[in-house]
Amino acid sequence: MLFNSLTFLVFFVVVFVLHRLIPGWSGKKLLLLVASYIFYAAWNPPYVVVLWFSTTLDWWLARLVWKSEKPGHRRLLLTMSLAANLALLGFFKYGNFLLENAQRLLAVVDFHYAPPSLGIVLPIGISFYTFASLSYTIDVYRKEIKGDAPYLDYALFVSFFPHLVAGPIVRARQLLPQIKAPRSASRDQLGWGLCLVIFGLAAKTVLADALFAPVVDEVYAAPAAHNAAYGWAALFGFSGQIYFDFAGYSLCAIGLALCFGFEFPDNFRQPYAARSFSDFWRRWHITLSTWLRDYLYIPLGGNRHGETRTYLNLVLTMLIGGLWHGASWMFVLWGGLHGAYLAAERFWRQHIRPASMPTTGLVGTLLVFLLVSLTWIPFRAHTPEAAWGELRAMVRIDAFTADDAAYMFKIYAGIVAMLAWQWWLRDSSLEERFGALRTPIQAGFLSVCLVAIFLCSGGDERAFIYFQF
Amino acid sequence: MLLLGTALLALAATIVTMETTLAIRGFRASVLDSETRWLAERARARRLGRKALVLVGGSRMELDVDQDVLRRMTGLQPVQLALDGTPFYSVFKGVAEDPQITGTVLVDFGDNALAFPDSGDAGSRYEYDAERARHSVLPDFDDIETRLGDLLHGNLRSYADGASPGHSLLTRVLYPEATPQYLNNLPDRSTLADYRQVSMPGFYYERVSINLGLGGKVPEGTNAQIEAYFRQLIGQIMPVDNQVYRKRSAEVAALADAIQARGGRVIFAVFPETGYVRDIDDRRFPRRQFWDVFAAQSRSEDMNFRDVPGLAEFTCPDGSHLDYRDRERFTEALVRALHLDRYPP
Repeated sequence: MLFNSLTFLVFFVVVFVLHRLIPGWSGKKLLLLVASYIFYAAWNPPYVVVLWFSTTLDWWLARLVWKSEKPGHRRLLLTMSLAANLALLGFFKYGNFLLENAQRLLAVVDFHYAPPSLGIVLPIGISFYTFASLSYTIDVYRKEIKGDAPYLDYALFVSFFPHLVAGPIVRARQLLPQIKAPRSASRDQLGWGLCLVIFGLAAKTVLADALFAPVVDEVYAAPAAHNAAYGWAALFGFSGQIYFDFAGYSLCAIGLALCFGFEFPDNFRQPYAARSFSDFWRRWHITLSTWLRDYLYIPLGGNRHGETRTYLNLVLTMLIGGLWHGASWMFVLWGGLHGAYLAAERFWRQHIRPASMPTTGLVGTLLVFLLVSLTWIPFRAHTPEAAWGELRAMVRIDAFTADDAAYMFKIYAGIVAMLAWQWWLRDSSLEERFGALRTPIQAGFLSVCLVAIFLCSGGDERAFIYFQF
Repeated sequence: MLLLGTALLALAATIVTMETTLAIRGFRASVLDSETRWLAERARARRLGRKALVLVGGSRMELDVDQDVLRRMTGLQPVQLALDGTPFYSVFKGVAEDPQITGTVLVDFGDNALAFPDSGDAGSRYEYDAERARHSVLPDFDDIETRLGDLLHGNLRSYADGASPGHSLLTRVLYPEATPQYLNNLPDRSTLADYRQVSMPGFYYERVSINLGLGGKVPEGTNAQIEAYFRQLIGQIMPVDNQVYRKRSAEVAALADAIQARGGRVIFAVFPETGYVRDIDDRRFPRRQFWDVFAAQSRSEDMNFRDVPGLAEFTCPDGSHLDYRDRERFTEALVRALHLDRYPP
């Protein structure tokens, strides 16, 4: 069930009205849990079993970890939780990938093995809810939170529909306390929540799908038929598409949760206004980057074991971050490149840049945007050939017609407007900026978003890109 | 909340303005055809058993046949499985291989469906999904989305023809010369074609150009010059090699046998085409090397409009399809020609 579907609109209205009508907090929670499972089942009903299994196992193991005082026993239970979650993820997400690569490796030593086709369908959102669930068992193991959450609360934390399939990756310590205490959305929360949903849908429907996606799809489908103007439009267009698609989804998720009185963490903070790569990762998919930092980079040693080890940890974390996005070497390459940028930036800061040199400004931001955009190529291209095709299109000098110019103007104007918007909002938030506007301008802005959603609706309805991860 | 109320008012005002303008300009709301809708029909064909009159083929089946007439004259329940722009083969194969299809299958036969190797099309994809859906006992939320979409599309002119409201705004509301759509999809997956809404003969020439492989491009010139150009090109068309056709004809005949072996009935019918469109097909697929070859191999009933005076008299405005005002008369003539009116209910 997509947030930008009519089914979801009806679903949300029904759940919201029932949530308001049901008197007790336990009843409200039960309603949200059942609704979340229906939301998940709408995609592929049998896979609710996977969600339930993962939830139940982690809840049970975390409870045992919490009760146990023996370090060895606690470590064993945590290992079981990690192994079970990673096994689920490994089977569903990386099963085919591992088999294919094993086949290739064996072929190198002249052992030709043809594995049976597993025909595995990836359970939607498994990467998101697995990470959310793991945060609970790890935090309980570290004694940062208690492992005494009631089953109903825990199940709702994992499956709460606004964040279930594409994040933000909400941690147990953020959401469980909110689930524990009775709450309902205030008038302001409800109003702002609905505004965020409208902004998110406008970003997705108008900017990602209607403005940027067509040129990206066109060029990646047939790169040899396009010249440099199209190649660069596709390059920057995908930067715009993936940002508005995913940030739009996150805004919807945050807004929907707020309508029920729950507060989710921000997931994006004007990433294309970043001054450096480390700044970019503090602004892009924040809940994933902080998850990787806290549960992977720091446990690996972070920057505590010398310079070389720090670089290694950075690259390794980003490689795994890349692989988290999908079972493909192209995602690994994307993650590896970002790891390399972070390592290079750290080296430059520590060894090359004079202490007196000011922080880079607009030039630095544009340079980071350019490199981030180039690095999206392996993310968007499914194969090395497709990536190479896009790179070749970017240097192909070819005839350029008046029709092309009009089409290109729209794309490039959109990209410039996106960068200007992010630069303007860089050190503030949407809530602050929107709140500072005069009421008629706020109403006008919201009206434009709503009308634009209607105008762009009903055509080619695309799923959110991050659903596949 | 005041802000949201204002935004909703602005949205309502936009919708009302657009709908009023489109209504004044003669546009009609139309539902959007989709795979979900097709799958629902496919499931209905199974449920109806012998009472089903399964319609397989391409756009001619969708545009030329009136399902109300079929229902009234045959006592059977029409099930529209035709797919615009898709030869009949894949869907017919799926229907033949489905043991639960035991009704009457009427095929809009086109030589092009068998003249070339099967390369996979929308029909094969839909049939694959139908097979998967057959084994699923769980509810499908796509159905709900389709029904809700129907509600929206069936009532708002802004979505007419599957357009987005933005497209309607740019090309229909802000463009006073826009003519209403000539195609109108119905919930039963039929399509009404109103050729009064298009500019003739330009529209017809575009169709001829498409069938000639010119991509719809029509050369500059007077009508006489354009037609002379078409005639010249048609005169140069050579017959398609019929090796593949022979092999696949035998295959289709066997598939039809399978349906008939379980008590069903199969009828292959060549629907009317006129003018240069007919000339092109006559040159590309000469009857003796194609249709006659198929008819000789088939053990099912078959009918070619060229052999039935009551059907050959119809004129297709675009050379390929009938106007909606001829649907009823044509369907009556078709039922009589196929003796379907005497089929026991």
